[in-house]
Amino acid sequence: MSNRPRAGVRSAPKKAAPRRNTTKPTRSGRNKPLLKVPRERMDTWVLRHIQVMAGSLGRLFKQPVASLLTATVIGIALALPTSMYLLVDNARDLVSEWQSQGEIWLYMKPNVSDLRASQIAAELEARGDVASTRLITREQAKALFIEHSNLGSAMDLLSDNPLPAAIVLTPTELNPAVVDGILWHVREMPQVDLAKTDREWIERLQAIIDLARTFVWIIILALCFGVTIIVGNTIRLDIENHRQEIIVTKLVGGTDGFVRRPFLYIGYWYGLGGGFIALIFVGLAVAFLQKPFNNVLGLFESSYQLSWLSISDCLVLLTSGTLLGWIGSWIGVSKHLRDIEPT
Amino acid sequence: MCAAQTIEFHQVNKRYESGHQALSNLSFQMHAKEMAFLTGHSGAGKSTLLKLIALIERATTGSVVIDGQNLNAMGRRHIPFLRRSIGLIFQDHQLLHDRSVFDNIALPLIIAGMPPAKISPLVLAALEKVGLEGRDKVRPIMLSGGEQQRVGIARALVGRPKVLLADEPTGNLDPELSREIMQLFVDYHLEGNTVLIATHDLDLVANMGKRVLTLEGGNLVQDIPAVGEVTPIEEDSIHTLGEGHE
Ligand SMILES: Nc1ncnc2c1ncn2[C@@H]1O[C@H](COP(=O)(O)OP(=O)(O)OP(=O)(O)O)[C@@H](O)[C@H]1O
Ligand SMILES: [Mg+2]
Repeated sequence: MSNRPRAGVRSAPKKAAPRRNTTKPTRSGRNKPLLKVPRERMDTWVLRHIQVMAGSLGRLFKQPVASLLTATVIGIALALPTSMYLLVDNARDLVSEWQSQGEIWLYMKPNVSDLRASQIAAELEARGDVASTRLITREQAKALFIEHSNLGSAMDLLSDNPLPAAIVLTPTELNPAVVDGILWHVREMPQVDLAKTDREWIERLQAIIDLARTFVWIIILALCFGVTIIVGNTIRLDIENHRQEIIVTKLVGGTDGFVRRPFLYIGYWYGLGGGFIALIFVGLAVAFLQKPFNNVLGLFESSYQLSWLSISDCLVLLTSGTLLGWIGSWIGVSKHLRDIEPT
Repeated sequence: MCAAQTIEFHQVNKRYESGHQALSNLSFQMHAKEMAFLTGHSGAGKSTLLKLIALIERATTGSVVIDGQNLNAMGRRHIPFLRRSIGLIFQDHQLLHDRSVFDNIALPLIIAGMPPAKISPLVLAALEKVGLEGRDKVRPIMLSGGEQQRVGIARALVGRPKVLLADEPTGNLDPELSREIMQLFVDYHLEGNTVLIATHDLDLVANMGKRVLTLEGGNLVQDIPAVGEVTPIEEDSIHTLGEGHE
């Protein structure tokens, strides 16, 4: 520690002296301008930042109710778009899960026997883009029909089973190109009467969800704007309350940056606190919604569970809260600090 | 005239926004390491003059030059660095009442980015100089007016600025303490610094034998050189007492 300033000041002449052993000049030469001199200043700088950070937190704790109220308002403003985002995100996952059941149904022509159908199924399964096949025999088709419709008794009236055999085909991948490739192939097959996916329906649903996502993003932007305004305004009041401190600091040579620093950290804490409060709100919302949501999904025979925010989502929320607090205080400070000058 | 000029006023006018003309066509110079007093009735413009030097106010016309730098040309961003080179003692103390005496005095050093280990001895030494040793932990509000004044003086001196400006530094002090503080300024001047002190206290000033500038209604009406020194002055309409001017 003690040799730092000395080394910084004196390394240049040392280096110029040719008699010095080889290691020393290289070391001091390498360290001289970049590390040695500024390190003490850097240490001081870091220390001062930590002090100001802690000091501004202390300032907030001196008025716990007011600070908590502000942070809560910010928290609500952040929680709102976050829950909407969560909802849309869940909907998207849900749809893609449905899509993962996205099977291709091949209805055989009526004259195709169960045996022939099973041969076709085996041939299809040999394809690289087909993960698995499942044969629904004509009898099974009849059973399904009776089970899922009220027309079971009508079926009894028919002497012959009118239903064809079917093959349910699961593609290896769900991307549209693969599915289209399979469809194109099976529709060419003479034994196949009809090939169908539920893709169109899913695509429509997805378009709606994408629209909702865009909408949520607009709301996110609007509320981010709101958060900066809240913080900016709070900082404006704070600046007014610290008028004398600002004036004195400026009188003894404080730069704008120095005067600004505590207010920026206040904004930082507001943003971070608001982020945490938002997390709590979202957590509560999910906890309350989880049961009814899963009940509804249960009706659709889906095993999908409403998911919480992921760890990275939480980090994004906290970071954006902090960033917004920082930006808001920056705007507030830049706007109002200039007005306070010593006279 | 060989010494470099530290403070130069060239035909400076200062008109406040209220329309009040606080300084009129003011010209004078102080060379480096000079000490001078600034006197005049209340409202004569003493504080205004000091504020122009620290760019707390700007001249309406004319120019103030500090260490060869014309303040008219100095942008907002450079003002803090000008003020760091000047020790300012204010008529109204300008202390922070929610911080300790120590923190008040340390403020200029913290602003300048000095490591904490170096700050503490300097602050304590400055406190001792103004006779407030042991009071570093109290709040200024718990001090008398004169003690607060001295905290302000310690804060101005702690960074050892080349230029010291004091506005009524002995306003709240009893005669004996006033003399002590004045002696402190003289010593600081003898250490090679420029010192300019605005004061009402004519008796005290008379005993010091230093240069005295007298303002009246914003005009410089008198410029008495220091005893045994030759003080160059502008050949304006100033009538001068004492001998030795050019
Ligand atoms: N901010 C201001 N706005 C308008 N007028 C001002 C302002 N500051 C000072 N003045 C006026 O300028 C004149 C000079 O003021 P200044 O403070 O320089 O006087 P001073 O010599 O320091 O007086 P004192 O000995 O009472 O401190 C006064 O008449 C005062 O009313
Ligand atoms: Mg005054």
